Formats: sequence, structure tokens, C-alpha cells
Amino acid sequence: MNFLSPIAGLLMAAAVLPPLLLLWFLKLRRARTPVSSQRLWKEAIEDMRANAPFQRLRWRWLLVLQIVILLLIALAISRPRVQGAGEPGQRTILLIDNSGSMQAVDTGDGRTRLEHAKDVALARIDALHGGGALFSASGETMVLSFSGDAVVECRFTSSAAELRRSIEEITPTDQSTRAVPALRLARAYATNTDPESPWPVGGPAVIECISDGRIPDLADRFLEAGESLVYHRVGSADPENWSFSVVAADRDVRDPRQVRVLIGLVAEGDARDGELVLRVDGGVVGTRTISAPGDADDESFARLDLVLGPFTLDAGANVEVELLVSDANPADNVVWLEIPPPNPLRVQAIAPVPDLIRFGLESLDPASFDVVDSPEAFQPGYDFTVWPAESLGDMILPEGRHLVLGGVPSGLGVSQVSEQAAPAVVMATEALHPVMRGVGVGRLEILNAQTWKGSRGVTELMSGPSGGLVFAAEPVGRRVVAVGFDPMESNWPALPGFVAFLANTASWLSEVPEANAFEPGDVLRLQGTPGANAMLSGPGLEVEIPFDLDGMGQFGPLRTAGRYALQSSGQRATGYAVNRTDVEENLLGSSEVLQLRGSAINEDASGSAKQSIRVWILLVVLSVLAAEWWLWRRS
Amino acid sequence: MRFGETRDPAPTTMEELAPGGLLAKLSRMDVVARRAVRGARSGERRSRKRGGGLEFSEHRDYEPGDDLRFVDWNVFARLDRLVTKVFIEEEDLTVALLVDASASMDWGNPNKFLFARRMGLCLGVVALRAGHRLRVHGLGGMCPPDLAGLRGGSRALPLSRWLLDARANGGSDLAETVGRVSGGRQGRGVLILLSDCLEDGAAAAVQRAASSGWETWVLRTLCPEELNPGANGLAGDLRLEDVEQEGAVEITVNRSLLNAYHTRLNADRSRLESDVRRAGGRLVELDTSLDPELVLFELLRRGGLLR
Repeated sequence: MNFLSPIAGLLMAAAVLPPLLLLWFLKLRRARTPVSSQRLWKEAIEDMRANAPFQRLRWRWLLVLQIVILLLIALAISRPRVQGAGEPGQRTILLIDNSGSMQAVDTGDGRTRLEHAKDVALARIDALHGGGALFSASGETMVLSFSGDAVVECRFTSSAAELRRSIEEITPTDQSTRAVPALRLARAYATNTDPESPWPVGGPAVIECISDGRIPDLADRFLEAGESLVYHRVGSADPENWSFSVVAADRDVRDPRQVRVLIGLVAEGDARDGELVLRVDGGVVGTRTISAPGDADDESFARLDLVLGPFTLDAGANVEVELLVSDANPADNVVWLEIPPPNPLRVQAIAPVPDLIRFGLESLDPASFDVVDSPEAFQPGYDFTVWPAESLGDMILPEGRHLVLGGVPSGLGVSQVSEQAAPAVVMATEALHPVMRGVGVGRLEILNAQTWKGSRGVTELMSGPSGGLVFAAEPVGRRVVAVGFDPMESNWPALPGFVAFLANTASWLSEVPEANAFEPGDVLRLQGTPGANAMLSGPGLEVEIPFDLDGMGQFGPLRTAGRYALQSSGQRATGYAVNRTDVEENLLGSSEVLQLRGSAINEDASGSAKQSIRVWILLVVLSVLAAEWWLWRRS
Repeated sequence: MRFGETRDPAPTTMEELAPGGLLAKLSRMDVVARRAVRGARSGERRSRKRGGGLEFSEHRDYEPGDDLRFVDWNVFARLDRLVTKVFIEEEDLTVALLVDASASMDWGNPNKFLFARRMGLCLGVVALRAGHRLRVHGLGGMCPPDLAGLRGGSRALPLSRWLLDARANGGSDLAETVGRVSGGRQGRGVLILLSDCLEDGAAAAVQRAASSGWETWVLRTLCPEELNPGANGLAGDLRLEDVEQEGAVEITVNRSLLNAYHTRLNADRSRLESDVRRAGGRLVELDTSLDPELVLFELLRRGGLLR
């Protein structure tokens, strides 16, 4: 049993018990008894008073009953709750987590967490609407499911059948858990049940959350005044599981037929050894045995990064990477990639292009390398464009991918620290960035370097003594590498690292696998024939997508991971890969507490909610009052 | 019936006052005076007066006017000196019975006043039959006039009449009565005070009587309700009202209070006994539930008042 308002009960007890005892002292009717002498009694009482202030308070059943009554009333004011149904008229909102982690099968009976959550919800429906002699409630219940978004499965109703049906129809998703939209929706429904009324017409409902407790966005939310949140926990606290955190592929910039698949794995708990299988268009092209690394990031999980390949892929292909292992969540053991056909490098340069730069770029063996005379002659469609900074002026870079030499263009979030150029050397590099991989700058000397300072979101690839020298940024619709000094005023083009820098830059600027990669919860934005329809198929899904007059259509948010294909009539199908790579969601250890800002909701170990027994306590009070009346009549 | 309320009816005859042939059993008893006392006339008791008694006391030089019959001629023949033989003169013993008739005595089961009167009758009859002079005084209450100069067994009837007619009421005038008895010109003897001694002043009265030559016995009469109230029906939340004095005391009877009462009763008992002894008297505490024969033949005989 716990209490919703323990302070109120304690205050009530503290306020009424002392006056009751005082009244008993005052109202005590004493029998008049003649005695031969009161002298000895007076002396005895004087002796007693020093030691026993309560000696006058004799054991009296009437007094005991009155104290019991007051304590029971105080208990009732504390709003005690025990297992059972709700109060009559109480409104309850069941929030059922159907996020990706709820597909884990870690309860030992082969059933998913979501199935257990639905069992808990059904049990609550039985308790709340099942009737019974003691705990029957005539209140209403609402069912919400939540993962990335909240879905009203059933509005407030007292119909147990309707509620049960809505719970049974809840399906799992692969989305990450976000409870705030659900909480917001629940609060809205809890405080206003009359759509005609602009004002809240209902009191707060009891919100019961059935989840594994991995709800990161609740941590900065407060529990509002008067709000009651009950947490029903499902799932194991220490599961053994493998999941994916990264999946990507790239083609070699010099030989685009060569493909590498980059895989990031997360091993949680004592994850067993497994085998990673790489399939291309359904055929196995490689396997790799994996073991959980010993150097865990923390106590609960460890990361493992792998590169599969390279392997030759002359055309576009569907790539599937599957982890063959027995773990807690089989649903997160496979990822997909839609690799486009090889895209030979096409580079555009705005004149003037120094010869050393031109030689460096041509060494990448691009399929085309076109130089245009002015920025106005810029043509889209190239993998990237090389800009001399002086040709840009204050111009904003057009959408696309760009390499800017000799300065940093506007609109990147990089500001100039000093206009005065000065000799500089490289003090630090962002060696982990793809552009800087293997780029040695130890002997790089710059004759005239302006220094820059990047804002948040801009990566400083090279830093000089007084600011940044080279930056990478990804503003909307663009991907830019900007060299803040003129390479020709440095010894860089003569260093081997410069070629590596150009190769990395070309590779980073031309990579396109993200184009058709999504995560559950994303919205698929599709292009097709204007005004026509196309059929989108996916895991357990087949839906017709209409395209507007601009040829744009959309579907989502995506509920489940997997391969999706958009088939337009007379055209080749376009594939989309939807992968679960949210580490926070893929970690499965269920939480004992639901952590909110300023409060922690402990799990309800029994799996069913505690309900108020205030009415029953008040009935006991009445019974005790009747007993007291009977005793009083007897006396 | 309330706590301490007397159940027994008041006696109306001597037989009811001393039932079971109690008086007949006292025929061979006598009141003991531990030291020589001075009576009003010669009697059966030694007196501190030297004179015409039979028991030799001492010699003293002859003085003109001495009775020549008491000159010891044998001494004169041997020592050629006139000496006079001094004898202890035997006088009668006065027994004074002081019966407390205050309202506090008319309480308890058995009733304290009844018990005191019963003891008074027995002791008075013993004294009368032994040939002593008997005086009877009531302390407070509504008592007949004091009896004085009773002598001889035949005077048991007026004694019993007096005791039967006495009514307990109001407060006690112990100090005044003892003062009156002590200041009288009658002979001294044994003063027996029958009282519950619940008022202060009993020790002072005893001291005054002793200083006047009375050999004083305090027979403190307490009932079971006073000796052990918890075992005799005192319980609950009570307002105790004194039968003699104004005012009341409110109590809730519990174990602690009863313990405190017993502690106080024992302290009072010790203090009274000490005061009485220091004043030259003797104290015997009598429980009214005791058999009168046990009191007379055991307690008082062993205590030294009777023989």
C-alpha cells in the first residue's frame, strides 16, 4: 500500500489527536465517591504528577475507538492505495510502449515485451472494468500507444470490450521511444474531455505507463501538480543483446566499383559470439565472426566497429547485413542498404584553377573534369565543384557539394578572426573526420594565412595558432569543405598529404548512400511522376502513394525497419532501407524507475496498479462509530 | 453500593455490639498499666504515692509529725537513729476511653465506628470488671454526655447504652477532648484512643496526655477500603469527596496511583507510630475486618494493653 497524500494525513492526525485527548481530559465524567479522607489521595496524586503526566488517562475502550476513528480518517486523507480497481468515476489512461525495444524477447517465455505489456494492460482493464464485490469502478479508461509518436488507440470509454480490442490491436514498431507526445496527449485528454468546452472540464486522470522504462525524453519533464503516474515495468534489467549502431557503404573514389560496408555494433550485457553475414541481392558475399569486445564503454554495453569488404559491385544492389546470434531482440539483428550504381566522379571547377590543384584533382581519375569561367556558369549535377574563394565574393554557395580554396564563403557559420594574413603552421587536425584520414600536415607551412573561427556545427579540420584554417560544414542542401588559405601560398601542394586530402574530400563530397537510408520514425519523401500514383511496399505493408503536381509524395512516419520499395508503373523499383541504429533504443535493459525531472516513479512490482481504498476506510470508520455508540449505550 | 459505603446495620443492643458472647470471654482479662499511676483513692493498683500501702518502698529520716507506727524500731535499736519506713500506697486505676465519632469513622466495611465501639465496649467491660474506674468520652459526632467514674461490672450497661447511642458525624475534636481529660483533677491511668487518626494532631494529643501522666494507647482503626482500596472496589475515573471536609480530589485509578497511595499510607503509618512512641504512647493498628477476639486476645494482649 502506498499513499498519494501522506503529508495531508499526517497533518490531520497531528491536528486532531491532541485535541481529542484534551477533550477526553476535560469531558471525563467522574463518579462522585465519598471517602473517609482525601489526604492520602492528594499526597499520592502529587507524587504521581511528577512522574506520570498521563496517569489520568485510563484505558478506555471509548477513547481507543475514537483514536482509531481519527487515525482511520487520517489514513483516508492520505489517500492510501492498494491492489485493485480504481475509484468510482476515476479516469485512467493506459500508455503502452510499442517502441523498438519492446520487441525484445527476454522474459524466458518466448513472448515479446509488448505482448507482456498488453497482458498487463488487459489485466488492468479487467481490474478497472471487471466488476466485483470490493473493487468495481464505473470510471472510464483510455488507451494510448507510444513510440516515436503517440497514437490514441481508444478514447475514454467504460466499455471493457472496446478497450480490450484496442489493446489487442496494438502492433510493434521499430521507432525510438518518445513519451512526451504521449504524455502531452494524455494530459490534454485528462483535463478536457468535452470537445465543446474550451476549458478543462475534468480532473487529472491516473496515467499508467506500461513500458520497459527506457524513455530518455521523460528525464526533463516534471510531473504536474495532482498528476498521478503509475509505472508498470516489463522486461529484464540485464538482457544479452547485439544491435547495430552504424550501417553505411561507400564506393572507392578511384574505383567506384569497389564497395565497403561500414558496420557499428553494440554488445549489451554478456552478448554471445555470433556471425555477421553480408548478403548482396540475396547472395552471401561474406561472413565475419564477432565477439563482444572486452573493453566495454561502461558496465552495460560495448561498441564494435567493422568494415566489410571491399567487394566489387558494378551496379546498384540491395545489401543486407544479418547478425546470426541468439540474443534478446532478434528484431534488431538485421540492417539493409540500397547501394546506388557506381557513380564515376564528375568534378566542376570555377576558373581560375591553379595547375597544381588541377593536377591533384585529375590524379583522382574523374570521369569528367570541367572548368567554367565564372560562378555564373555554375552547372548543377556534378559530384562537387571547386571554387576559388575570390570568385565567390559575398555569394552564397548554391545547393550541392563544394570545395572552396583560399577562403571561407558566407553562409557556413564561419567568421574571420583577423583580416591580416600571417605565416602559420598547423597546430591540430580533426584526424577522425573522413576528410582528414591519413592526411599528414607535419611539414605544412603557410605563407599568408587568414584565421577563422567556426560556429557550432562547423568542424574545424585544421587549426593554426590563432584560429581555424580548414573547415567542413553541412548547411541545408550543401556539403562544403573550405580551405581558409590559398594552398598556392603554402608548401601543401608539394606534400603527399595534399593528394590524400583531395582524395578524401572528393570521396566525402561525392558519397550518396544516405539518400535512401532512413530510420524508423522518419518520413519517406518520394519523387515520382507528377500526378501519378506509385505502390510502396515494405514489411507487412503495401500502400499506394499519390504524387502531387511537383512529383512529390510522402509516406510516414515509418513504423518498422526493413526494405521498402517504390514501384511506379513502367519504371524500375526504387529501394529504401529503414534501419534501427538508435543506440539508446537498441539498448534493452529495462529500468526499475521511470525517471522524471525532480521525481522518480518506482515500478509497480506486481504489474497492476494500486487503487484507492479510501471509501473502504471510511466505511470502517462508520462501523467503528456504530460500535462506539453501542458501547456508550451499554455504559 | 458505592465504594466504602457501610452495608451492616447499626447495632441496637449490647449483644449486637458484642456478638457471640464476646463479653463473657473477657472475664479473666485486665488492663495493664506499665508503670505506677496515681489514682483518686486506694485501689488495686500501685501508686507513686508513698504512704499506707503494704509494699515497702524505702527508708527516710524521721521528721516530726510522722506516724510513729511507721518508725523502724529495729534500725533505731541498731543505729540509734530514727528512720521512717515508706510504703507504696495502692490506688485504683483510671481507664479513659476516647472514641472517635467523626464522620470519617462511619465508613468502610466493616464499619470503623462500629468496630471502635465494639472494642470500646470490650475494653470498658474489662476495666470495669477489674475494678478500675472508667471514663468514656466521644470525640466529635453526636455522642451522649461523657461517662465518668464508672466502676464495677454492673456498670457495663450504661457503657453499652452510651456506645449504642453514639452517632458519628462531623469532625473530630480530639485535641479539645484530650485537653479536657488531661486537665481534669481525676486520677491518671490508661488512656485508650480509638480513632482512625486520619486527621493531623493525633500525635500532639498523645503527647499532651502523656505529659499529664496518662499512659496512652492509640488503637488506630482502619477499614479494608483504606488499607487496600484497589482490591476492595476502587476503580475508574472518580471524584473523591471527603466526608468530613470540603473539597474533592479527582483521580483515575490505575496501578501507579494505587502504588503511590500505598506508599503514602505506609509513610503515614510510620510517621504516626514514631510520633506516638516519641510522645510516650503506643500505637496498634487495627483492621476492622479482623475478628474481635483475635484483636483482644492476640494483638492487644501481645501489645501489652491487656493481660
